[in-house]
Amino acid sequence: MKPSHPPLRNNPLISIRNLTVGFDQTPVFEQLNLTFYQGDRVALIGANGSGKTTLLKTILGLVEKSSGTVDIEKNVRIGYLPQVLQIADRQFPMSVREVIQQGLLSKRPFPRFIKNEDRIQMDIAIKKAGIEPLLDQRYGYLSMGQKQLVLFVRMLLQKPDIVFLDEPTSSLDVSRKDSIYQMLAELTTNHVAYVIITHDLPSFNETIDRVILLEHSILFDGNHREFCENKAFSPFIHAHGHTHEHL
Amino acid sequence: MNIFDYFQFSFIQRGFIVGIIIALLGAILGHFLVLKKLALIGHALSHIAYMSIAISIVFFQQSLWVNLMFASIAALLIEWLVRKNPQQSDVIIGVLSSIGVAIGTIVITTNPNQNVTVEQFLFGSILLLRHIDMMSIIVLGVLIVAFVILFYEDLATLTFDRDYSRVVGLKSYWLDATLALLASWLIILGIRGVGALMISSFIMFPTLIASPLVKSFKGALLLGTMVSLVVFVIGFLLSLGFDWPTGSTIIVVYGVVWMLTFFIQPLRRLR
Repeated sequence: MKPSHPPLRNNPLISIRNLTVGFDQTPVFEQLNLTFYQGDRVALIGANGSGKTTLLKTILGLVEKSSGTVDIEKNVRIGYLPQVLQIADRQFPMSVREVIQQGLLSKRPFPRFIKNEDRIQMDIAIKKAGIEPLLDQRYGYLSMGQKQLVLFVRMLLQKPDIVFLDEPTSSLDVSRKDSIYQMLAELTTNHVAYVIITHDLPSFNETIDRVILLEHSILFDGNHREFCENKAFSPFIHAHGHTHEHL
Repeated sequence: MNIFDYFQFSFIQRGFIVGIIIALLGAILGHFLVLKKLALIGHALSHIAYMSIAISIVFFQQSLWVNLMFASIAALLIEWLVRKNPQQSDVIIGVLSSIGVAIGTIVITTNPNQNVTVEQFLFGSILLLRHIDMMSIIVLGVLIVAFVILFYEDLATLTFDRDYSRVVGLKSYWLDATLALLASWLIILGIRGVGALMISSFIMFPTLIASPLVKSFKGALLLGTMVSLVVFVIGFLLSLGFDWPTGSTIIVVYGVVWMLTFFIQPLRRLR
């Protein structure tokens, strides 16, 4: 595993102030205050319905906020790894190569014809992830793990400063999980921050510094070790079938 | 008379050219609409186009601009309603279609000019197209092709993964609205040729046929347009040879080709 690169607390990327989001007058969460910094390695955890995905989508601008602010620093590029099941069915004709190309979209000015240097950058990312044999296959026919990997490569090509991953390992086998962790660890060498929504907290023992526990408000925001050592949260950790020793 | 002898007549030539352009443009726009699961927008737009044509005949001397204006408003309204209520999009599209046909039929029955009948617009006639219809569809064709070439990557990404396209800063609302507008204009200009009841098939069939047969988005777009071209030519010639209504004949050929894909699919290994 790569050495840990501590977050740069003097470089905030996204600042959330007094954020409230609700549907039909019922708040999902209220008055949240959070800051994500350069190099942050965050796990956002909470029970189903606690507002994790809603918070993520609000930050990404996909869900309207009721009040408060989400300030994204100028020129900060956001990467997003959605849940695999959200995208396209088997019937959708889109090759893996075409999906990965979408990662180059945001940095190409209009009109967005693909340049040679983009192709080179893409080839490097594809080789690194070991997905060359999949390139000309239909995305919809891949396994869940393969799809996740393809979307991960697409996200990396965005050259993000901070990435948000929605349950990235929920449908993966152990070896696929490891390759996702490894790629995450490599991100931090460039001080790229990441925020992972997960039910899988213990297995991120070396790739997570900070834990945020959300249950309609923030119950905990701090160091990973402190979270695990706090007896108040142990039922939560045990609920995922892991012991403290693994953390 | 040989089928090809018909092509000495200018109205046949005009019908052939306009038909080919409608078939190609329907396939191109339909590719994005169908894969965005908004194929029925074409259906609703065609029924509302019927209403706007009826209104323009009775009150505005068949003004093309009035038609285009009504269709544009309807397209933007449908697009907005569907975006705001994605879970109910099929119901919204269904009721708007009915409203369009209902108002159109009421208006057309009050028409003092009895030379214009409902059937003309419901079924259309590709052989009754005027020079202005041909010129209008050519201009629209240039607009649609330019839009799709310039925004191809944006449209493909938006169609595949809407959330991602918004996160990377694509103007998804603008792209959606432009697609809906262009589709509404195609329907208005095509309705005289192929009829309100059938024009949406030109949008739906090509992608329905091509999607299962190829792996890539671009491949499906190209195959869809090629299939559409071939189907139109076969349908047009059959309609001339047997004196069948052109629009209906083309739809039947589309249907036959679609059914053939059920036999072709298992033969192709896409993995």
